[in-house]
Amino acid sequence: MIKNFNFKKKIIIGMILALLIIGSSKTYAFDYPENESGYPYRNWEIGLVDEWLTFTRNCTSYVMWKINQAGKPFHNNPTGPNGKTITIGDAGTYDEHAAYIGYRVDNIPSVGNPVNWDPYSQGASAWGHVAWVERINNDGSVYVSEWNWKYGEYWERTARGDHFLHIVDECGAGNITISNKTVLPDETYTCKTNNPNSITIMPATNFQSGSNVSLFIN
Amino acid sequence: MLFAFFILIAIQSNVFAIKFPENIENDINIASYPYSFSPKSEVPLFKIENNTLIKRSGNTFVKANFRDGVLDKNENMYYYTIKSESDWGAEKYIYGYSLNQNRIIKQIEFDNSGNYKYPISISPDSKLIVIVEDAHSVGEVNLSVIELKTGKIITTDKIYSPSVTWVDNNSLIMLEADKECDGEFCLINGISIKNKNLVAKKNKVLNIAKLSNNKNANQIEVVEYINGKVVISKRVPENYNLLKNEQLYVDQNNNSKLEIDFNLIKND
Repeated sequence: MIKNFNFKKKIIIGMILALLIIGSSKTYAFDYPENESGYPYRNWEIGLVDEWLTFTRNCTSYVMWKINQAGKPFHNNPTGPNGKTITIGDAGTYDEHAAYIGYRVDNIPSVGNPVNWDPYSQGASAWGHVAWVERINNDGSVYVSEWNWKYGEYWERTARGDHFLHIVDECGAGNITISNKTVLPDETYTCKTNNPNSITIMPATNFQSGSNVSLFIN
Repeated sequence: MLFAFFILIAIQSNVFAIKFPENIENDINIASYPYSFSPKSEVPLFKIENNTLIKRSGNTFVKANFRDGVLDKNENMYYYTIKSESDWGAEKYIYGYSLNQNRIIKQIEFDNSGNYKYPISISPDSKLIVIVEDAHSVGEVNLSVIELKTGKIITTDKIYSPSVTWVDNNSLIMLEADKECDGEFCLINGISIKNKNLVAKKNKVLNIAKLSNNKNANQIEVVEYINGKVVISKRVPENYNLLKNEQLYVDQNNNSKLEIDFNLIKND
């Protein structure tokens, strides 16, 4: 009887242990369900002209949607901060074209902004690729959401971008440092961010007399 | 017994679960077997039912769409390419599937470099096929007219959207982006209809749209030639998978279809 009780006890302890081990070993993916379900052309045929004049279920179409979702009206012929207008075109040209119309483009990731790759770079297609920065990892890589990395489908992955485009958020997120920035008279510098830990303006930054500087924290 | 219990718990908690796509049949490449393995007894890859072309997808049939391929005028042959499994491009052949023989009877080697390329139109005499390349934004679509017999490129162009139509065996109509450039930086500031004569090697153009006030161009994408008129419209979701012309292109509001007299297109 006592032997039988001990056996049952072992079974129960085993069960508890099993549940504890499995419970603790289960990993949870960081996902953004609204990215897939919210993208308005998710059920359309790939390759149709969409409202932003990109092609449905392409990376460009998804990033257009994300920029607009972030509150910035944007389409394939955007006018930039410097007043110039351009056809932003294929994904591989986003960096050059965004810079041409006055957006900051660099190698510093910024959450809630586009990241793009040159043609054939890191697995991109002949026309390059563009995705959306969801978070920045400790090692400097970024976690992105995107469309058409897996052909015609929604995808998320960790990557290292070629160019980071500060279209929605001039500052980035986290600990924001504005430095080596020269804003001339009559120019406007806007720093908009959703989630700053701190904003530091370094001495090297030069806001000349007459320039407009706006710092927004939503 | 404890081990078995571990396994049971593990399965229930999805640790070892293998997740299949919901529509696994639709994910199967419709023609992933090579040309030489297309026996007559094979279940058809394509067939026409109720004036609609349907394709085999795994064990079932689904409606084909405009990117799946193109049917010749006599509805005997269906030409298509296959997206490469290993990169962004297409496999190196245009396949010709006979709807009478229920098998692939032609494969034409073509320039498959770059992004995925697929046929969108075939000349009335079935000698020339129009291939376009996947693009990310309007005005950037690469087009090649290819001789079906040889795979030789007859002409190339850059068009507004993946749609062309034929006036006759030597002349086709497409939409073209009007561009204003500052060096290498360009702005699409309108759309033109372009009539390209492949024999005379001459083009005619007619501007049909300018940028709107917010710098956006028109969301039009389909061009047809019907009874001497060039008809411009837009694909709508419920019709984009139909291949018969009179069913495929329906304007969005039933009254916004733009019809232009072909004679208005002038020499450029």
